[in-house]
Amino acid sequence: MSATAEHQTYTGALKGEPNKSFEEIWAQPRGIRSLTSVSHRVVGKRFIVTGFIFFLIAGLLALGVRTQLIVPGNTFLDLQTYNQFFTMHGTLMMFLFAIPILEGFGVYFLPLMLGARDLIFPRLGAFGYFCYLFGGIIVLSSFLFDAAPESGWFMYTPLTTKEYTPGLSADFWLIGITFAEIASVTAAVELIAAILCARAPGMSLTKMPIFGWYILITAFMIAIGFPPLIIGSVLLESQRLLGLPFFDAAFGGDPLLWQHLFWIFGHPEVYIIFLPAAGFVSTMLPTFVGKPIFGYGFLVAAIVTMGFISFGLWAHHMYATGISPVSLSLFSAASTMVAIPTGIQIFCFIATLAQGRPRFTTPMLFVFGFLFIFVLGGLTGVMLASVPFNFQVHDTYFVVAHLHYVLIGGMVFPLFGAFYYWVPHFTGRMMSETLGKWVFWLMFIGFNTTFFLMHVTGLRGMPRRVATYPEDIGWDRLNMLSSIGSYILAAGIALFVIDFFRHLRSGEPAGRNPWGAGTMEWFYPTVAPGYNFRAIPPVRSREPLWDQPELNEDPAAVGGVLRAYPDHRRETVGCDPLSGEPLHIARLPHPTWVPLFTAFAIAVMFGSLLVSAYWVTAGAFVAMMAGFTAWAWEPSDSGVTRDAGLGYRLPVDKADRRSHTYIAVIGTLLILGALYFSLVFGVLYLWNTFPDFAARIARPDPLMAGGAIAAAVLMAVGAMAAKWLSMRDRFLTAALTGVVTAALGAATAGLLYLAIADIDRNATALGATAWAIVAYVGVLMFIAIWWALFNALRKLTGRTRPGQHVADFNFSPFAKGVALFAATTGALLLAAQGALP
Amino acid sequence: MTTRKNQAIALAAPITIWAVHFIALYGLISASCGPRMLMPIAVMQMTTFIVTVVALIGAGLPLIRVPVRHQGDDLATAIRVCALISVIAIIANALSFPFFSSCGG
Repeated sequence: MSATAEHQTYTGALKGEPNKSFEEIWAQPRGIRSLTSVSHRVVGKRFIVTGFIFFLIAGLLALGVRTQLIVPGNTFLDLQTYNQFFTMHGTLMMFLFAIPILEGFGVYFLPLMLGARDLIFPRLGAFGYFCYLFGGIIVLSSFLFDAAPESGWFMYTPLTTKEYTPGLSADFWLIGITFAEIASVTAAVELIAAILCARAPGMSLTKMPIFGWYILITAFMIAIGFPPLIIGSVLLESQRLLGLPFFDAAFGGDPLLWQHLFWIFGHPEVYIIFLPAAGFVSTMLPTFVGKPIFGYGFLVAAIVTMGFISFGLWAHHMYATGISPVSLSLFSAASTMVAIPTGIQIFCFIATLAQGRPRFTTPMLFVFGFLFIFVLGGLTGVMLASVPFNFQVHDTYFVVAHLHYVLIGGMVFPLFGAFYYWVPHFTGRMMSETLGKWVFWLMFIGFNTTFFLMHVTGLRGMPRRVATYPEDIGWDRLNMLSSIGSYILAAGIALFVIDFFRHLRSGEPAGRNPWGAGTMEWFYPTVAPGYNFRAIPPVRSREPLWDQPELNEDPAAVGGVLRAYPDHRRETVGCDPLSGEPLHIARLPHPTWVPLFTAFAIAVMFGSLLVSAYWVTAGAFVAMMAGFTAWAWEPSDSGVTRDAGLGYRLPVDKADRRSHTYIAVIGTLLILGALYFSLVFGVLYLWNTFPDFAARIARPDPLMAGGAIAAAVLMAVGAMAAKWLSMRDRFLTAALTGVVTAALGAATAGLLYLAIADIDRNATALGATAWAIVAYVGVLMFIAIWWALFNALRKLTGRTRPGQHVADFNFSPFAKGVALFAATTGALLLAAQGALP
Repeated sequence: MTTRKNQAIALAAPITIWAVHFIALYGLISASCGPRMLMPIAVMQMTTFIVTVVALIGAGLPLIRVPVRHQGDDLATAIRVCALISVIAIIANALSFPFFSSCGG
């Protein structure tokens, strides 16, 4: 049957726009409706611009800090304001600038590089951006209420508990940052699914640009690294709001538990920031050397191993907290080991440089700046991995120097290089090479003047976070020079901003592929059309624009898949994650208000928590659920096949373990699992550290715990049965099975609650943490029940047609995952009761 | 299973084993050196030794037998390097354990 004939009988593309041309289907909405845009290009740009604004604000705060320290005994800032400045500087830089802006580059460029028309979950990208924006506004608005956080970007307890920080400042941080982190984890799921499941035909994992590997591993790290902090923040906010004693030593809690949870996030965070920036370097270097990156296989190995080993370093921020020497040796080993994959990457970069004669363009200068500064920062990192040395310089300016060498060298310099390299994509114009070189040298000289001297200041004993210091103890001149250096650095950044606005008017038009790069983002003349590829060409090389001459012809005429658009929908190719062979046609959503509405509802929910307006919180929760339901309720397009061109005949939105929706569910389970095991870590930590308190809490009810395990197992079986029935188009029985599955989910949550009902959550930290685990499983059960009933309702109302199985296919692993968490919780309760050995 | 799948597993397995080994050692230290003192340090050291040997065998396997799809397969290189780094990191994890006579040093 031809595509046209199928179209006549096709009832799936209910949201198709038959009166529109291909260009009109992909056109971006204008005016106020631009807020409905879900295009990765729009969302990516928003992430980048917003992130850069946060960077400028955080930079101004840093200038305030440096001005305060320029002379001893200075009174430029009072003590509280100084604390607020350095706290907000770190917070904005780490949470609201570094991660989001790098994700923005990933969101913008990955589909272009990988041969996709958009990210695979465009609404999720838009939703994540709005969460980030609203979270950032919540954090920043604390200045307006004179309640800016002032406890350091790490928010150590007990300083941040209600007793020592009684106002709202810590709440602003905890609620705003947790909200902004939703953006990071949603972007992680989206990027994982996009990289694995939406590449051009033939782009296997080994033909993928190395930038794809960098972002893939970064996304996995975000998925595992952010949940511990989310859990820590929720626990700390619960302590502040509800009085649950998670970190209160008087009730068997432990401030060090916060440090563990924070740094399990905090150290990988450094690598989460470094890896994408190293991806920029790996993308720019071959362009300016004119040769492919050296040692692709070595780089892949280094990226993968760094992604893992960086999680074993968290306690190297806690050497001075009294950890046993055996533990110190373990963490010291991991801290040293991470130098190996880092070194491999640096050697690959140097070897790439050695392959040809590099062009000294502005982006390339920033690459050299990165190499120089990051290597120095890495070396001091190895020094800090050594326990005795770490003890000596703990909490001194040496550490401040090290972290800025790693983060500014490892991230900011590549980022500015990337701006100069990719700016034609945003504006169609080139920035000035002359001004760019001035920007580089001002930043390079300013940076090294500021931070190199801090090594010495730290070795002379100056502690971090002091608002002033006495004169004549050897710190005066060093601080003066550091402050002057910071002004030079700021001048470089100011010149960059000036150059950016200048080039918007008078920058030279960039045309097509102005740097002579080999990667696919330069396929079209800048600025590329919103659909990225009129037809998606097959890819046979890592540098397709160098190795496939046909791609340098008229981009609109280049042959590829999905040239035809019989259903007038936005669509791209979904591929096999390993081979890159086309698997199905992935239908993409059109512009919609739903992401903005849902994110706004969550913002109101979080914001109302701050002012204890709980009725508003409840209303916003209902609005949020309505938003998510509307999101998922739209008509399904699956169940048909289409000619995709180049001999491919592909199903639409296939229910398959290799499809993007399934991979996204697995990615989501990874995040949920990391959240869950962060809580389990908390329970085991408190149980092991404070046996006396553990002995005081009431024992869980073994009958109820056992019943919860049984109900969880049955729930998983129910979800599998619903999937089995649905795959055979037995929708009525599948719907009824779904309802039973939901009932079993409710029973599981209820039995877990009954199992711990006798435990006093206010009496001990361990009891509170046990409640937290059950509450978390309860939330997951609520989602599973909602999903099961949603699927059942769609079937019962005729919204699901024969051949449409994606919803049940994807619900099954989710239900199994949630059942596993519930059963594990039941087993933990049985163990606590003594029913298990 | 296809060679591609084997390669993906061989790439991820060694460093995953490192992660499991790291968690196991951290757990053993906590069990031995935490206030509950669930096991004597000698038992902890012996268990660490056994766990390390098992981990080294698992992580080192791809060094001996790499699934290769074609000549100059970059993923095969990645698998070998990944396995090598993992083996070194596993040894580093456990290297200092025999030298502790007590949790305090």
